[in-house]
Amino acid sequence: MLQSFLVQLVEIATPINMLVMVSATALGIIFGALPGLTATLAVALLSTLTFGFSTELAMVALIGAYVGAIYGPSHSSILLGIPGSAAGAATAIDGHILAKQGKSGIAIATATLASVIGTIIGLIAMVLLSPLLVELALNFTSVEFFLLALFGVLICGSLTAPDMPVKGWIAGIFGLMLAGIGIETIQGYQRFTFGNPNLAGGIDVVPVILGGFALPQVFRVLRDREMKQTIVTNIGSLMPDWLAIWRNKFGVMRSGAIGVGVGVIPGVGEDIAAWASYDAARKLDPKPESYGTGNVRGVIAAETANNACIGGAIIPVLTLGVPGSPPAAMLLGALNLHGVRPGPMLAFEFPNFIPQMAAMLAWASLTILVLGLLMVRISVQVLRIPTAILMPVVAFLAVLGSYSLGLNMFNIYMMFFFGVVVYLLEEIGYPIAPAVIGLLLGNMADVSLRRALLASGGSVEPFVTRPLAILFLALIIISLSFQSTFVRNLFSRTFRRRAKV
Amino acid sequence: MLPERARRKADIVFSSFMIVLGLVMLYAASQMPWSSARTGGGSQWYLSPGLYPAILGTLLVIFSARVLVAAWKEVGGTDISAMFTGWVRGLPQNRGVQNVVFMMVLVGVYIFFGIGSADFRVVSAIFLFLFIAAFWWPDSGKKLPMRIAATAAIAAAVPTLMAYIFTTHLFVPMP
Repeated sequence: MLQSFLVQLVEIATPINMLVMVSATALGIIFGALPGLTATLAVALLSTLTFGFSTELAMVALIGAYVGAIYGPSHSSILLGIPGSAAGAATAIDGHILAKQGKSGIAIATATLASVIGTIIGLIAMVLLSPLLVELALNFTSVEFFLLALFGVLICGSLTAPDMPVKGWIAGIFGLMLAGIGIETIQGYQRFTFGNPNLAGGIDVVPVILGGFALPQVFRVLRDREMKQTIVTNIGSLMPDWLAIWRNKFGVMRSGAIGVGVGVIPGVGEDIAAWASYDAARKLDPKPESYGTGNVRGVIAAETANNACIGGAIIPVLTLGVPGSPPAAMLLGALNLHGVRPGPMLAFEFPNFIPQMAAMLAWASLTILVLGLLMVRISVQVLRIPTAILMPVVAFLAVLGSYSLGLNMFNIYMMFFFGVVVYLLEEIGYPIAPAVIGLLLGNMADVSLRRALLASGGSVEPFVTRPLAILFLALIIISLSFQSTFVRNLFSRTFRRRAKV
Repeated sequence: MLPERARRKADIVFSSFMIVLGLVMLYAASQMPWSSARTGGGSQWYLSPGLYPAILGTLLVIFSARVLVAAWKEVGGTDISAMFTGWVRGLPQNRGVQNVVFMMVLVGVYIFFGIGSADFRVVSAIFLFLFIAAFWWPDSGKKLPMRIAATAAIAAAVPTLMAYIFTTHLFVPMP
C-alpha cells in the first residue's frame, strides 16, 4: 500500500489535476471561512459541478474542497471570532483572543501548520488502516452489513443530537425510511411511491444534502443577521509558532489520533473531533486555566484533530461504504454518481483507488499550507462580504445544483421540501447528519437484513452467534443503553464504590 | 434551537405526530405482500418488502414514545394550545420568524412558480435581486444608491455566469 501510495503521489501530479486541486482548495478555504457555509455544502455543490469530470479529476476537486473547507474556518475563527462552520468553533476560543492580542498572523500560521500535520496523520492512518479494515470487511456477511448500518445510524444519532440522543436515533430512522421509498431491489415492489413515477427510483441523496445543509443555514444566518462582529485586520507576522508545536509534539500526535478515531465513527464529523481534542488537551495540560485566554496549544489541538478527521472519515467510506462524517457522506454520494461502489471489493476492483485518495490528501495538505498563508489577507476582504449577499447566492446555487444532477424539477422540489423540514426539525433539536447517514445506508440495511434471513432460512441465529455480529450487537446495545438514566446511574454508583474501595 | 421549555412542548406535538407516522408505516407494511409467489416460496416472510418498513415503523413508535414521555414528564401537556396562541399573537413582533417565513415563501415562489415561467436567468436574477434587497437594503442610509446598483449587478451576473458555466462547459441545460 505504501509503495502504491508513493507511485500515486507522483502519477496524480499532472498539471490539470494540480490546477483543479489548487482551485478547489481555494474555493474550499473561502467556503469554510465564510460563516454559514460548511464543508458538506462545499463538497455537495462542487459534486454537481464535477459531474461531467473523470472520476479522478472529480475526486481531486472534491478532496481539495473538503480539506480546504475544514481548514478554512480557522481564518474566520481567528480573525472574526465566529467559526465559518462548527469544525472551527473550538479554534475560535483561543484563536480570536490571540488575534486580539495582535498575534493573528502567528495564530493563523500555527493553525495552518497544525492542519497540515493533521491531514498527514489522517492520510497515514488511511494508508495503514484501510488494508486491515478491508481484510476484516471481507469476512462480513449480510448479517454484519445490516448490523453495521444500524450501528452507524444509532451511534451517529447518539453523538450528534444536541438535545436528547433519542432524537438523533429518530432522525436516523427517518433517513432509513426515506431510503425505503421507491422500487425495492429484491421483489421489485413499489414502496411509498403513491403512484408518483419520480419516487419510483428512490430519493437522490444530493438534493437531500443540498436542501438539508444549504437552506436551513440560509434561513438561520439571515434570521440572526443582527449579530455583528469586528474583524481583526492587523495580521502581523505569518510565522508559525514552531516552538509551541515542537514542545507539544505528543499533544499533536494525540490530537491526530483523536481526529482519526472520531472520523472512523460513522457520521460523526470534524466538529466533534475538534472539541474532543481541545477538551483532552485542556484536561491534560499542566496549566488548564490558560485555555480560553489565548493559548496557542488550544488552536493546535483543535486544528490538528479536525483535519486528521478527514482521513479517518474517508477510511470507512472506501472500505465499508459507510461515511465517517457528513462531508464524507457527500463524497460517498459523489463516488456513487461516478459509478464507483465503495466497499470491501473496491480494493480489488480498483487496486489503486485508496492510495490515490491518500495521495490526493497529501497534495491537498501541501496546497493548504501554501494557499492558507497566501490567502490570509484575501480572507480579511472575503469576510467583509455581507451575508445578505452570500446567502441568496447559496440558495440559488442549491437550486441549480439540485437540478443539474438529474435534469429534473422534482429534485428541486425535494431540495426545498427537505430544506424546510430540516430547518424545523433542527429548531426542536433533531440533527440532520443521522438522517443523511440513514438515507445512504438504508438500502444496504434493507437488502442485507433480508439476504441474511434468506441465508438462514428465516432464523435470527446468525445475528447472535457470528463473532463480528456479536461485536456489532454489543456496540449497539451499549450505545443504546448508555442513554438510559438507569444504566448511567448504575455505572456511576459502581465506579464510585470502586473508587471508595 | 428553541428555548428548552418551548422545545419540550414542541416535542409533545412532534413526537405524537411521529408515533402516528410510525403506526401508518406499520399499517402500510402490513398491506405489502408477506407470502409472495413472486419469489417462488410459500411464505417467505423474511423476503417481504414490508419487513424493513415494519421494523422501522416499530422503532419509530418506540423512540418517539420515549421523547413523548420525557417531554410530558418535564412540562406536561396542559398549556400547549396557550403556548401556540401566544406564539401566534407574538408573530407581529417576532422579526426572526417573519424573516424565515419571508425567505421560505420567496424561495418557494421562485421554485414552484418562477422557474419555467420565463427564461431561467431572468427569473433567477429577479429572485436574487429581491432576496438581496430584502436583507441588505434596510438601514442602508446614504449607501442605498450604491447598494441598489451592486444588488442589480450581482443579481444579473451570478445567474448569467452560472448558466454559462453549466451549459457551455458542463453541458447541463438550464431548467
